[in-house]
Amino acid sequence: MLRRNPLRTLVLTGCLAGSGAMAQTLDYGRLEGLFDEPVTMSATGKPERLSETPVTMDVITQDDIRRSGARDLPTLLRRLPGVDVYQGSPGTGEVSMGGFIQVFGSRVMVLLNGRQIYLGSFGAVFWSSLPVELHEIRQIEVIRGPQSALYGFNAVDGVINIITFDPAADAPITEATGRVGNDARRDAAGSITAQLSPGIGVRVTAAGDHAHDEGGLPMPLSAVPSQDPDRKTLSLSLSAALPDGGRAEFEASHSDISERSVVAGTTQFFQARLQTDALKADYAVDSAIGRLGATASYTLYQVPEAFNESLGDFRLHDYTADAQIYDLFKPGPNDSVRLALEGRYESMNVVNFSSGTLSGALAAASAMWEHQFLPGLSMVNAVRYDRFQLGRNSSNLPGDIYTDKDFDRSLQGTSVNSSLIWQAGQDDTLRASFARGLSLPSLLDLGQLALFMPQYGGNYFYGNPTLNPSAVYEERIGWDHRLRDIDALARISLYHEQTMKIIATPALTFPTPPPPACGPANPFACYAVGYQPGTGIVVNGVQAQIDHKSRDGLTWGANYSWESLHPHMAEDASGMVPLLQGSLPVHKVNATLGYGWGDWAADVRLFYSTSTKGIGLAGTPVPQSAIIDTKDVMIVSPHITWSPDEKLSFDLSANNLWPYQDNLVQRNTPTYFLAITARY
Amino acid sequence: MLACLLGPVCGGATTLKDVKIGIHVIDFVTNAPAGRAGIGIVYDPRIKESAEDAQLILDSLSSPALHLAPGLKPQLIDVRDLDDTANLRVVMVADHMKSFYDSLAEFGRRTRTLVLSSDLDCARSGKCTVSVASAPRVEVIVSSQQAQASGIQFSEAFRMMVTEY
Repeated sequence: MLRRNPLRTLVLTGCLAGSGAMAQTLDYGRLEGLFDEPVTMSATGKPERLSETPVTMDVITQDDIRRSGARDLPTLLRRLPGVDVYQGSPGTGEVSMGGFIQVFGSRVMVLLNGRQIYLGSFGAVFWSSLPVELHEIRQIEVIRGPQSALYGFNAVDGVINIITFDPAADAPITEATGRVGNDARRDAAGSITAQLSPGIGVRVTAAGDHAHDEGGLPMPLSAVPSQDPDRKTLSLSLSAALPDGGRAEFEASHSDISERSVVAGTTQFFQARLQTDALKADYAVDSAIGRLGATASYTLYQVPEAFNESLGDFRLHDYTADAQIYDLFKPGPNDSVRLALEGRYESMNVVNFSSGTLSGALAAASAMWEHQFLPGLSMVNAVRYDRFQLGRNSSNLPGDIYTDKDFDRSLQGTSVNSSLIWQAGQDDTLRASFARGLSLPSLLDLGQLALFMPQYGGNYFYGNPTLNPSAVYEERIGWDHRLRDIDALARISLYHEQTMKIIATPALTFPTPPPPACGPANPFACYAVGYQPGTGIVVNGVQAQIDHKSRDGLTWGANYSWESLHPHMAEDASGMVPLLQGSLPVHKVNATLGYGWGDWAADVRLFYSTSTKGIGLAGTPVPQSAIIDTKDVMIVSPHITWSPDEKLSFDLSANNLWPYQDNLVQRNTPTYFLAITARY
Repeated sequence: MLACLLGPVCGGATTLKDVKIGIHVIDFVTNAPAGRAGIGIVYDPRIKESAEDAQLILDSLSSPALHLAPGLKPQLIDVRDLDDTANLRVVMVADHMKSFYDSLAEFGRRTRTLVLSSDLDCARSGKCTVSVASAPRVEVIVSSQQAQASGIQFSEAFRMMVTEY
């Protein structure tokens, strides 16, 4: 876990909870049926077999999900090598790769059918607000390393793209699941799919989750208003094969969640209600100049009520509108090219303590070129240029050190990905890649203002509109080897990543009175967001895994990650450097053992992580926030399922058994639940 | 020729999976001529292996596990009678037919018919439109030259994922 900016984080935690990188109008089912393996567009923007992608990626399939016993996405993702999950409450989770677990500083791009879920204004992903149920997911595609050349700003540690089943082209999903468990957990979810006419299908999914929050906060529950986690979602997905040979998709969703959580990197809690509404339309068609596609989406985030012990009540209104077009074509037998344009507009207004409405207008152009030198040997190069025009409509709050003119500037940069892939025979694949990604400061980084903190000497804390995108460089090599004798796939990858700048607050100890240099020319002196002095952070890592998957008989797998983070920065009073140094678990292990027989299947999963540093409560008689060492983490998650026929299944699951318990305020609460699913 | 799926050396029976891949390929033709529903399994009855393989392909196509589209009608065709056959959408080439590749290619171009084989060299040499292999991993090879000459177009997504010669 890594604390990035506790004060800023604190401000922003009033929300619980984008725009896409590419359309998903691809017939995954037919292509998967042809090639007998998962198919993805996430690696390069062109359809590819999983075994032929030039990047290191994992795919979690629907079969994997059914055998997992998991009831949420972060739990599934934690079982992959190199993925870290911070659980701030029973309903929330922060997912990171590459060692940077940061609330409101996520470096992982998350998409749902190509629609960006990553909220650029907050630099966050609100997982529980995703309007998707596990049973409607075809596959979850997880790519490691910078992918900004395809996805734009902030896809610097990886990409997670969640692909759902197509209501027209795939087998219809009509099922209902009820789940009961400890902590008064009661969940219900159901989907209905209808074929409106040949080639046109629609699916409607509704879900509601509720549980009782048993505590785990660093203060008595009586000291804070009660807030049991609650989640309601409704989504519609429509897909149509058009007379021109094209395919159109339309999605609409609404989610409404309420949660209370402890903020990663602090001992502060927040509670809030987040409402998300989203619309997306895709169209793709084969034409004389290749496969043309267009996507448009609109996402509205609203926090009608939120509370933090330091900030009191506040509200949020945020929206993102995005449009993309692309052309994918083969100019020759050995070359594939993808050209794309994207425009996006985002606006946020944190009522009560912001300086006004902050906005960003993004324009981007990208190109990808794949060339096959020889059968089995190919190269992929991608480049993308992003320009982000910042703006602010000020509300002239007292204490403002900026004018709107300070925000009238653009941030821009170029991202690059280059990969070489060699299929050395039928069983071996070797990959080597270089990437330059760009991390764009969130709108809160750039413009958070007028956060008046009486408990910190009555000072204001500011964003910083002079920030620029931070470059992240990564070199990675990987080797996949199929072990035919035991029907298993073994993979290993090694990487070296360097982040050039880290955004931070300058100090946690604030001199009084404020520094005289404080002003527009020197916002850093006013406790404004800035860059931590130094040359950045280097992370070296190794990820290894082996898996044997089978519906019947024995299934097993294990993965191991070693990651070492080195901050090349001067220590200061903020405490960020030692915290960074110890925030990343050096060793992580996942292991799975399962057996399927007839109508039954049973699996047990183990997760182990070495100790880290974090923010917790320490000292007597009155505990204070401090950097503390945590214990090793061991989590056991068993699951057993019985499917007497295709239409009915019973799942008994437990998660987070043998949980880590410490004064670090992470909430790996044990859960037990029974789920009953009926399919029609 | 679908019997050649296990490696570069021909031999071994055609499996259901082999035929399934071939049928999947048909789905990605974007300009299939209307009214053509025949799947011709072309063989030489004078060659025992060819006849046996053709029968295996026919049995596979008739298997309920294949979920063949209702409109598609498989039939065995003696290679000597090929020119007398009409309404073929696809020609599947049975084993031991190498000596007929030139005439099959010419038939495909003349009648705008997809010629499908499990001999990867057939598409590599531009005689077949598509060659497929299912083991040890699925391979699909498209002859751009033959496809163009036959007026056959594939979806761009499909083209992105296959090897073109």
